[in-house]
Amino acid sequence: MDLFDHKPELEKRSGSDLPYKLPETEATVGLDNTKLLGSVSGFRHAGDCGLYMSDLLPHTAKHADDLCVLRAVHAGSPNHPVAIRQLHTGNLFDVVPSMGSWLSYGLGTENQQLPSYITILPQEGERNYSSAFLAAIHQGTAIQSVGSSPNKAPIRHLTDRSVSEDVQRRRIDLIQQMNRRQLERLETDQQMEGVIESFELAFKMQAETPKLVDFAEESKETQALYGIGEKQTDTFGRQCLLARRLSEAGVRFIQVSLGGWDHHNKISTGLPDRCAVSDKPVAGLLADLKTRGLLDDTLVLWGGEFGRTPHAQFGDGREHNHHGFTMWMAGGGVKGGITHGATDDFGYYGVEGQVHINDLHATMLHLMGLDHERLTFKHHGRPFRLTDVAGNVVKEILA
Amino acid sequence: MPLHVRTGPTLLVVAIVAWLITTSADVTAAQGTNTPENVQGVAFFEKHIAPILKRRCYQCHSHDSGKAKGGLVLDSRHGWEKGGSEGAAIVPGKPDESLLMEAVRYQSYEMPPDKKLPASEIALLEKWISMRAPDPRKSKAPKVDPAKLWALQPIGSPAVPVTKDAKWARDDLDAFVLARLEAEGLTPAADADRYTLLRRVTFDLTGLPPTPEEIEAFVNDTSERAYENFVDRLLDSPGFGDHWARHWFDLSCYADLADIQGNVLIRDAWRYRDYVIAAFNADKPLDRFIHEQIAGDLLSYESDEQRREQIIATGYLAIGPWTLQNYIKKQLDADVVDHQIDRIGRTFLAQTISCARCHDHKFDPVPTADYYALAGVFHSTRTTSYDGPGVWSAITQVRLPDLRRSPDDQAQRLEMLADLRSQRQTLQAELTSLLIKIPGGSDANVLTLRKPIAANDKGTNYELSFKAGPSVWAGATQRTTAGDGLQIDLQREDGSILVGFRHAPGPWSGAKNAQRLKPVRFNYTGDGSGSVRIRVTSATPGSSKFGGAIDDLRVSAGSRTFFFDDFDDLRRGPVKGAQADTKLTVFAKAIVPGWTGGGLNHSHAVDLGNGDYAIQFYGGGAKGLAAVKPVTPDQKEAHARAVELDKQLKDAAVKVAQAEKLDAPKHALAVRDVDEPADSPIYRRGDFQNLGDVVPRGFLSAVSTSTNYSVPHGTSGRLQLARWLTDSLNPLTSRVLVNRIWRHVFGKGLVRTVDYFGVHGESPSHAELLDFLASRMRGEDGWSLKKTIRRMVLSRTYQMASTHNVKAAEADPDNRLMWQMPRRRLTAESIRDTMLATSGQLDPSRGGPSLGLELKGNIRGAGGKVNPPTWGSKVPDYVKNRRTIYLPFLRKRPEGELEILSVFDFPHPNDIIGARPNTTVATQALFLLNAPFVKQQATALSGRLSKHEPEDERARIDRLYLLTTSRPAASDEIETALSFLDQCTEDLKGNRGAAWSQLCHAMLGSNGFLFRE
Repeated sequence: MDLFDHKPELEKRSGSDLPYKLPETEATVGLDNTKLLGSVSGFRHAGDCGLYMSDLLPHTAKHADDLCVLRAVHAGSPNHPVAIRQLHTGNLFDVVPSMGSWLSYGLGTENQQLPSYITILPQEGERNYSSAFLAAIHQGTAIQSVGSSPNKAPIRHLTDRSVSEDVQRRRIDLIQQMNRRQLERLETDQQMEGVIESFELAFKMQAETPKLVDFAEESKETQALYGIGEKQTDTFGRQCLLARRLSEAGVRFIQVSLGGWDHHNKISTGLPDRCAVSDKPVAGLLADLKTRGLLDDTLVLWGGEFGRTPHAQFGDGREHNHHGFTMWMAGGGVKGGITHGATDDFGYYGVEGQVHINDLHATMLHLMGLDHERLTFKHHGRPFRLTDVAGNVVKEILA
Repeated sequence: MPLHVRTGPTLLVVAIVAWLITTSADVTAAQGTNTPENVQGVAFFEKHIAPILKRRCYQCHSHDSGKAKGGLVLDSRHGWEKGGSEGAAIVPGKPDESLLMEAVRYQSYEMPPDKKLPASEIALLEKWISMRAPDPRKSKAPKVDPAKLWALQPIGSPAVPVTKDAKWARDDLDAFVLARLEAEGLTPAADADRYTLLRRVTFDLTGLPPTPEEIEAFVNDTSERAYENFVDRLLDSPGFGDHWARHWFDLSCYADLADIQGNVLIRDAWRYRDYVIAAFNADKPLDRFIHEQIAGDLLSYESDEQRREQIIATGYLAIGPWTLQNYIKKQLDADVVDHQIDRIGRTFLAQTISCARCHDHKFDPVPTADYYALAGVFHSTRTTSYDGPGVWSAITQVRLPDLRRSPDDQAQRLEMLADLRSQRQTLQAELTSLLIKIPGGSDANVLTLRKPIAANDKGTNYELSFKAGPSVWAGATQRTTAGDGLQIDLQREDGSILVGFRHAPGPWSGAKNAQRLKPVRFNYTGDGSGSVRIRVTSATPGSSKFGGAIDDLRVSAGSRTFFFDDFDDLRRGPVKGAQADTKLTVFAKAIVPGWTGGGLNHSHAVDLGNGDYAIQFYGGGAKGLAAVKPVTPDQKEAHARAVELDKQLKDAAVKVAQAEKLDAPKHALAVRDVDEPADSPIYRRGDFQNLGDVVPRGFLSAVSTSTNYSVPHGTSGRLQLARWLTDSLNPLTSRVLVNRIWRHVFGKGLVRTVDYFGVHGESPSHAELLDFLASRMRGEDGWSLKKTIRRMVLSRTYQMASTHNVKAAEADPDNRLMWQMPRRRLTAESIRDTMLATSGQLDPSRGGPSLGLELKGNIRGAGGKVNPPTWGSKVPDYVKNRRTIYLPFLRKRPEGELEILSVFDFPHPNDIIGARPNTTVATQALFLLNAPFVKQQATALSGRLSKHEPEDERARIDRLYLLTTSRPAASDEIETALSFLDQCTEDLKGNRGAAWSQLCHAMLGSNGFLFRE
């Protein structure tokens, strides 16, 4: 109700008592005498489609005609770690593969030098980009640094700065020599051969990865598009530009993360701040993808694990709301300039066009050319899927 | 969290497996008598109704389509009887009360959704229901006949096979293995050499390599029993429990912290960890081990020790991946119960019972009713509780019975504690004196009496008295906390301390105890060394808190007063503020006549009203001695001494804390029965808001046992569950456990799907051997883990080499018949522990808490009302280099100090995983090449080697091989290493020592180190 889902009734009754009951099954904190809380900022129409959206996102607004806004997404839990896991893996509790791992498993890789699933500055634990029971090659690889400083390697343990490259190479050669000697004696051993290969790949990664995070070949204009060099948007801009570079290089699934949206209080300053940090880089990414003709076969999904309540928490914040919230998609075979679904008059519960996280996943896989009911892996005696036993493709939004 | 996905032009074909298992049509006559009426009804159904259902409904409501929208299937009588989320779809004989009719009439639901049925078909359905809906179709949910599932058949007692080669077998198990090999025309591999065997068995039993000394002794021991003796020594070593307990934790989700976010503080998980290790080391029979973990609190006991141990054992159920901050508490309860059922199902029964939470198991004989029979047991067990405020629940803590101590013991302990406290005070007083001497050493407030007083006659008893209480300045953050206090020293003229007193007034708790000063008395005996000065300061310099406030300070002997000051002639300073909570006026830079002030803002005072003042003592900021720059030689000396004292003081503080803790009440994370144990209703489709029939508590109906274990009124039924699991006829538990043991000893299970023996699991490669082992373990060997393992490692099968065999590999590429011993990479924790052992850094100490909660900042957010405290992540030095099992585990993938574990396939603590994956990826190579941990171990190893073999580099290389690969180096390996050293020395500008570190580093990354044959 603050960014993409304008609620006139909520505005009108801001500060008054709740017209609905809080769910009795949920323990609460900071909701004593809670009142309705109107939007943090104003709304205005954007694009030819006239999408009515917040003025906190002026750059994103320029792409309104590319956006497919899902206004009634819902998730299974109002708790961060659980809902975050569901967003990533479809499952609330079990250790199962992340959607990026499923995609890597389903589509394979386009680049032998790079992992097929990369997550840039992940905010949450490894389980959200883990391949679980799928092969380790489908594991998300974390990029831990996008800064211009060379002191922190983009991938953990990428290099050993304590000795020269000559010594490093010599050390690897010795390991390989010892390993080959042993293998000759054993005649054959698949895993040991695999280890020898993995050392060669490691050496290649040491050489190749730093080139990817080096933006020297990107024009000033392109960098400016993402807000790189501006204090507020520099880091997130770098994340988004790196995402585009990785996408071009053939990485199948890329995630860019930005924390700090959990506004239990002071949402009137907190939300504008997050918007200012992310708006230009996100819009830059859309513009850049479009200019390069990549947007048609790149699906961009924007959203978080849940939304916020229409009522106030601690007076000037909002509590978690997993019952009905907004995400948007762009490119990759979805209709642009449309909205799908609606929440009630206050933005609390979805009332039509509800999209469960499982539906979202089913749709994403569909857009990637995969049938979520047939992309399975047998584990513990039964076939598993990203959508487990649920999920429907949201056909209405397909272009 | 925006994300974006790149699609490419290529697609891989993916294995396609239908989700639901379908069976061929199975329409037979209805059960029961074939009355004419019945036959007629069935004919009506077949002719009119079945085609309608098939054409109009099956698309969304049948097993064949794989869809059960709304939970409803219409392809069997059972399907519509059970119905979907709204209950039964048809009420036989009552069309108007049947949901199905409402739906096809478009009254509530509108079914089929695309187009209403023709009126004629609606009429047929109505007629059929009026006829009481005859329907001969059996449930399509595949019913597995328990008699056909191998794992549910009784465990046999197969005869030991006779083999052609009568000499090869050493243990009966060998005969089973050899018989299969002979039947396939294969031969077992030759015996492994002694180096290989010793490395293998030492790793398998203790997770560590043999030492060079053990290797030498074993290789030279030609006695017949050399190997057997060595195995017995390994089984008796504490390393056995350290290693095998970890296998158990892979199945029981152990972590030292709570909540799925990872670091919520729970203090007593380690007791359960130590219980498991001790149980394995003591060879507690496995049936007893199971009983104690599931129902230890309900078992009888003979001593307080035993009772404590049994309560601690139930940590098995209490420790798990609970979402403690789940807002929806009923959901939390249901999820905890589900996990407990899942864990027990997989661990002991190798069944996926949890599938039956929402529906009858799709292919194994586990109906939903069985699930809720078990759920009743665990809903009757308290694992977490919610008291508010906030949204967090807590894991149940059970107070352990105190252990009775003999009066002598108790007196001794009190004496020890008193000694320790006095040591700490002496150190504190001395340190304070030194700190004041060094510029910038401390900005703690100090008040020193200008003129000494004559209260030090030899042998005279004096009393020092004053009033004191906790205090605070304007900001509440500086309030006195429990650890803060005042230090009052009587200094001789030469600056030495005659006697020091420490008084802790307790924490400031807002207005409740605000500036209420209580009388305090100390006594001392004079030593005749001359007059003394009184000095008062905070007892905890660097605390950034007020140690307390003091008033009415007096020194007396009998009726004679030597000194008194009520501080009421104080001259107020220019800096003033309003005290937090009380709003009393507080002053800084006050002048206290007769005293020298010092420290931050000179002297602090608080105005108690009516001209009454008390003096406050601020502990000063935490600058640390490292930041202080002494100038003069005196200062330097004082500084050096202060650094040393500071360390001693910290050690003393830890000792005092530990000693005090010994007498504190002890708690364990443990479960107990709820006040009113009860049966659970079925949660339809797993939804706690959609309740069905209540199911009496019980266990799996497909498993037959020697007796019927009914749950007595007023108990949860955990005890019955424990006994049911280990019942003499339960066909699963002993098979599952012995298969797990086999897996750890031989590399893979006889049933390789070690956690799943169901319909879609694997059948045993040696079914008779599995039964033989299971019955021997629970019969002759009395559920002894050690006896079972001992027999396995003494077998000929275990002692085979890992030699390749072209013929065998062709016939049996997976080595399921055991024609060789498989080569295996070390487990993640073995890699870490072995690196530490090899480099000489491994700390052999064991047991006890590992979180280091006594370290400053290691408890975060204590005192918060809404969220529970979290752990500060500082791993204490006394734990850091211990074996992995003793390190603190967060409830997330290990990182930081333990990152190496995650790199090498260590399970997530929320996983129940009997067979870890064994991956080979480039990140492992990167870790071995570049991670600081490996580098540090390599450097330490190199240092250790040069001390051991300072002169002879060849001998040093040989020892390096012994340490890292458990065998001597071959001559070509020595040459290779020497030439590497020469080249590396050149690269490193002549630094031979650095070249040696590189060589050690390479060894720690080589397959010779990472694998055992």
